[in-house]
Amino acid sequence: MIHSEVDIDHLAKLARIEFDEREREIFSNQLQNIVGYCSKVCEADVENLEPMVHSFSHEDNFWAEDVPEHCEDGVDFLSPNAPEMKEGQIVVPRVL
Amino acid sequence: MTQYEAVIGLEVHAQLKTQSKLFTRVPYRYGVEPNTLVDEIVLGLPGSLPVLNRAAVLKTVQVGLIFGCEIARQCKWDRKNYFYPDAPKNYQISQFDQPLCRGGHVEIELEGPARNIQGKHRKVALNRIHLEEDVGKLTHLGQVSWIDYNRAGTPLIEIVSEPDMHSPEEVFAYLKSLVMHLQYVDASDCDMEKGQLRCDANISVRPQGTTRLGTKVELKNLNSISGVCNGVRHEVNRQLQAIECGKAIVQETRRWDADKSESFVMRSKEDAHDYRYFTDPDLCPICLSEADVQAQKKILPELPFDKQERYLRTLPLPYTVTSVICPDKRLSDFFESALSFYAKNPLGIANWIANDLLRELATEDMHQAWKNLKMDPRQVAALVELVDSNVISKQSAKEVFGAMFKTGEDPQKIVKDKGLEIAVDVDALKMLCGEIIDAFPKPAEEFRSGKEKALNVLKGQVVKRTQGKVPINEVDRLLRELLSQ
Repeated sequence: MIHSEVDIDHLAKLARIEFDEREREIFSNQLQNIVGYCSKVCEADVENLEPMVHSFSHEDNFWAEDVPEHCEDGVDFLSPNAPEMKEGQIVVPRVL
Repeated sequence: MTQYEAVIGLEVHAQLKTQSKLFTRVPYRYGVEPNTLVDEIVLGLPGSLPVLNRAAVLKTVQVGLIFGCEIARQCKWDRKNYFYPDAPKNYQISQFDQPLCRGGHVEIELEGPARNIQGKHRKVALNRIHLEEDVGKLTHLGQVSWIDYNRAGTPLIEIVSEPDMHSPEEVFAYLKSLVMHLQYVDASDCDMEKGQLRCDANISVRPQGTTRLGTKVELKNLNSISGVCNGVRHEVNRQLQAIECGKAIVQETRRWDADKSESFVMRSKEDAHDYRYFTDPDLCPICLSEADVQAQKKILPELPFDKQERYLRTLPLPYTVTSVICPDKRLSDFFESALSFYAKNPLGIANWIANDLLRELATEDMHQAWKNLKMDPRQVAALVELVDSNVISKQSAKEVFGAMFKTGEDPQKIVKDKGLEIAVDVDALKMLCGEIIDAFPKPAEEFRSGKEKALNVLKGQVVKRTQGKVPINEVDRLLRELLSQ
């Protein structure tokens, strides 16, 4: 079991979000639970297993030929998820 | 006083020239309506599964091979996680610890002491070349940013040099060489204005003769080749001045402002570990066999510096002409094809291509100009042959070339239609030569007393009087004959 403390303030800075003290407490606990749950994987016994990078065989390349296909109209596709659209572009608060 | 040297490394991103994106078959084109070249894979919507573009891998392998890199037989994909609106998935698929290409070098040619003298060559060491996907384009307007995801997901290669350059001139030569080589294998068009080539520079200074690297400053927003050089020059000077004043160099990222010719500190960059790289679970590793790599090696063209060396060794061409033709694969292919039709006068053919053809093609959109090109190498060869065999004069040949470029008609037909054949009436020509000698006694006398060049003055007058429709070697012969009497 790995006991890593979630540095909630650092994560918030990376994600460029802000929250109040109450939210900070809630998210801290929730994230700690998620990380705690994930770390269950460390309990698995891997003593006699070969390390692997990927579950697929290394021999096969899953790749496609470079043949373009018609794509859906992107703007229609995007707009339901975008906070605001102008002239086909998504508008977000300035981040620099 | 301590002498300092600059130490410069470049990270260059080049957009690969594929038809479709890196992990989806959505096409990519520059300048289309915003957000029309996206799908669920580009946006990373839940459940979407990326499938690798084979051509992007093979083009990267080709680039690695031309720069003498070691090509990985196996490598994986990693997610580089960060929150910024240009990345629709909140991560970028890249290669962290297993790049497709390692090591290698880029051969550069520094500027010679004069335009007609070849400069020194040296090799700049590379660290790695890896493949990754591009991000969207942000346009900052006041308090908001506009996002266009058309570019997101297109294949990019990042070419990372070792800190192996020591002057803005070397940086310039390096970028020129990179562009030339990438265009040679058709890996990228490298148009910096279209964002197809982007460059960041890592710059430090150290006392000459020492090997430890100084504190580096990363310079961003270098949008043109001259911008890179100006930015680098400015930063090196800034660091030297700071040291002279006893100030320490701070490790930081600065943004180059080409209009103001100044750099400004950017917000602190997240440390590498903040990207939380991890292997992409949706993507299989890339596996390349020896046969895959050899197959790419086989289709590589002769490289520009090798070609130039061969031209200089085997053809009667001056360095200046080779330095125009060799860096451009289309020009050199055109030249060699023309030469295959008429091998007797390589310089004649090369001059038409390096001067006249290039001038006609050098429009705003050179790619389009090449596509629209109506005349072919056989016609240029035929034109040179017409001049060499005295069918037309050099002066008429200019007119024929112009017509050939416009219409794509054979030079023989143009000559016939326009009545440009030289009609030689030797007696009349001899009489004219005599008149010219009488009219210009000074150069005539100079020639007689051994000044060979003076003959050109008389030849020029004959050409002028006949509007160029005379075989110049015949004029030469007649003038010499008359002057020796």
